[in-house]
Amino acid sequence: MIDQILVGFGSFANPLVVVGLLGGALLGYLIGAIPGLGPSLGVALMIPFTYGMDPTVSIVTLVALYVAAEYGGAISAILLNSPGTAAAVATSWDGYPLSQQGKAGLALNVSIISSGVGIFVSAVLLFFTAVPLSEYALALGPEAYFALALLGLSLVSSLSPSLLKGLIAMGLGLGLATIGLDTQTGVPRFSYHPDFFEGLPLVPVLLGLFALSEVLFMIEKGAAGSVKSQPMSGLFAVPLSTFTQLKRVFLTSSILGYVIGIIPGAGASIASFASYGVAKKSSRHPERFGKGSLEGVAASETANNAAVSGALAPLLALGIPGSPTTAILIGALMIQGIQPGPLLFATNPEIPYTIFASLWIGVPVMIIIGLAGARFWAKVSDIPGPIIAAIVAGISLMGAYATENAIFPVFITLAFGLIGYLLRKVDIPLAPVILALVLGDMLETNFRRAVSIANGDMTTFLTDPISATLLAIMVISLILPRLRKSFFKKAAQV
Amino acid sequence: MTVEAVKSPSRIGNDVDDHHDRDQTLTIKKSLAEVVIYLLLIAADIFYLSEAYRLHVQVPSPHVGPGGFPLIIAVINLLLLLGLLFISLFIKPRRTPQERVAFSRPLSVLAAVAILIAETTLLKTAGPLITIALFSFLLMWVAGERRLTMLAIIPPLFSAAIYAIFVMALGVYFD
Repeated sequence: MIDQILVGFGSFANPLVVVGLLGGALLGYLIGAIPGLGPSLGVALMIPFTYGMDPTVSIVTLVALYVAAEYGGAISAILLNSPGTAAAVATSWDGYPLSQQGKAGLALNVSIISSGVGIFVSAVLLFFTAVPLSEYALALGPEAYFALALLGLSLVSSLSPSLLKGLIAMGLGLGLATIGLDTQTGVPRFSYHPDFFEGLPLVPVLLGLFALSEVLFMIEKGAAGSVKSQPMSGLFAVPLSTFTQLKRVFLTSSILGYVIGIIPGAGASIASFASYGVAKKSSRHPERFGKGSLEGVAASETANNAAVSGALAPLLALGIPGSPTTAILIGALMIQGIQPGPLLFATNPEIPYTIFASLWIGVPVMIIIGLAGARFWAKVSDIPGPIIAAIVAGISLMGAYATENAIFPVFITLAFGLIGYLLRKVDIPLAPVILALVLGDMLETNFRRAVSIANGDMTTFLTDPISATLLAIMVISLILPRLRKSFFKKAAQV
Repeated sequence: MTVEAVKSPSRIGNDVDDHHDRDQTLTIKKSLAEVVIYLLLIAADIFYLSEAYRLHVQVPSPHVGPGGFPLIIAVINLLLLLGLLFISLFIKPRRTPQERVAFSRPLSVLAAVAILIAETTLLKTAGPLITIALFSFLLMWVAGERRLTMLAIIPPLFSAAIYAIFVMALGVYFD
């Protein structure tokens, strides 16, 4: 294992990997700081730029962007009370009051250092859990793999305010995943043109659903909505004792964020809310929360960045994305001819170990970029919406074209941009669509393989102990929150 | 269905035209919007179901053939969609107050869609340099940008940057 991790660090002897880390971090901050653009959209927009890159450079760039975009979300949350990402909402609860008290620099400094601590600690946890998990996953049969993929998809779908809407989004994605030649028999399915034989191209669909639909929402907002940010002072004048007082928050939030990040669908925003709640309950000064508590800022930022490493664990070890951004990362790896999953550690060990190394090396890099560029990132969040809309639209269409040097994927992007816009209007979530599109093939292949091995007996999913356990967890996770909700509703009425 | 005048909360400087003050917001009952979307999805699902069934019959398999899995997906989707349609038709209309879906600046959104379609259609023939610059300008205009300096500087600069990265650096070609 030590040899492998040295290989990971050794990748940074290639100057292009270092450039990828720096470039990804800069772009991530840029995207995270702009309200409305998040890590998912950022990674989707970046993929077309990575087509010609070496796989290691490509994945380091994308992971750095992902991490930095989570960092960057806190900047506008603290200075403008307008979180750049959903995961930074809890940061704004105490960050913005601190800004109003003239302590914007202090809040930013604590948020950036907390983010760094969250990533560092969670990367250690990732290193020690992903490898054994991948070794364990090698022993799983098709029943267990099917159940695992279904569990991941169901957890993501169940997070939707309406369970039915979450499930229909998942069904839509699974349906779209069946387009193209059947991988087992070679029969064309739902492919009415040769362009569809290889299935729906993932990147154009991603760009349409996430980027182009967002452009239409930006058009709805128009040029309105600019807010003056708070002045920044005391950015570099934070005593070390401030951080030593926060060490308990750092540790608990890192662990909590990582564990929540592993759960498919839970992601950075739930991690930050949960961690904020735990920090408030265990604080000596809970009354300060919501009024400018540094513990609140630290808890939220440590956890939402730790969740990034957590989300990478199922991606690397099982090939199952735990969040929309990791689903997009899977697409990026597949474009490079790399299949994430338990075999990744054997077939392409340089990829996971370089990711581990990049998370550790990335911490000081991102802290420096965050602190040194704080004033610039604050200005970035003031870029007018019409300019961002034009840039996002241009990159999306060109990015789609670049996937095949053809106009067909651009029309796919356009179509999915409109579909995404309409689905969002009626609150059908997009994340399960993407996750199902990515996992659809794996789900179907393992389903058919398991049924075939069992000679057509569908109960094989219930007789296999691992599969039965995972399916039971899935059913409980789908039903329990709804039962609890209706119980509390009835109790309130009595 | 109602149409309301938009009162925008703030502006970016005085250079921005009050164009979108005159633009309007279209609001419709959320249950109605949902019914329309669900009916479209049901139509698509029925088509998908019939194609999956055809595949299931044409390519028989002892266990689960190429049509089997899509058939399962289609049936589950149909049941879910019918459930959602039932809720939107019979349960949600009884709730008060009625939720509404707002389509802000609908004309601008429609114009943006037309711009994106035109940009896609012309991208290959006119090339990225001209297409991206022209349509970025139009998209910024439709999105409410009225500062001439911004409209004059950003689109050509952005187009040149896109050209440099995609065509010159990444080797994307337009023949």
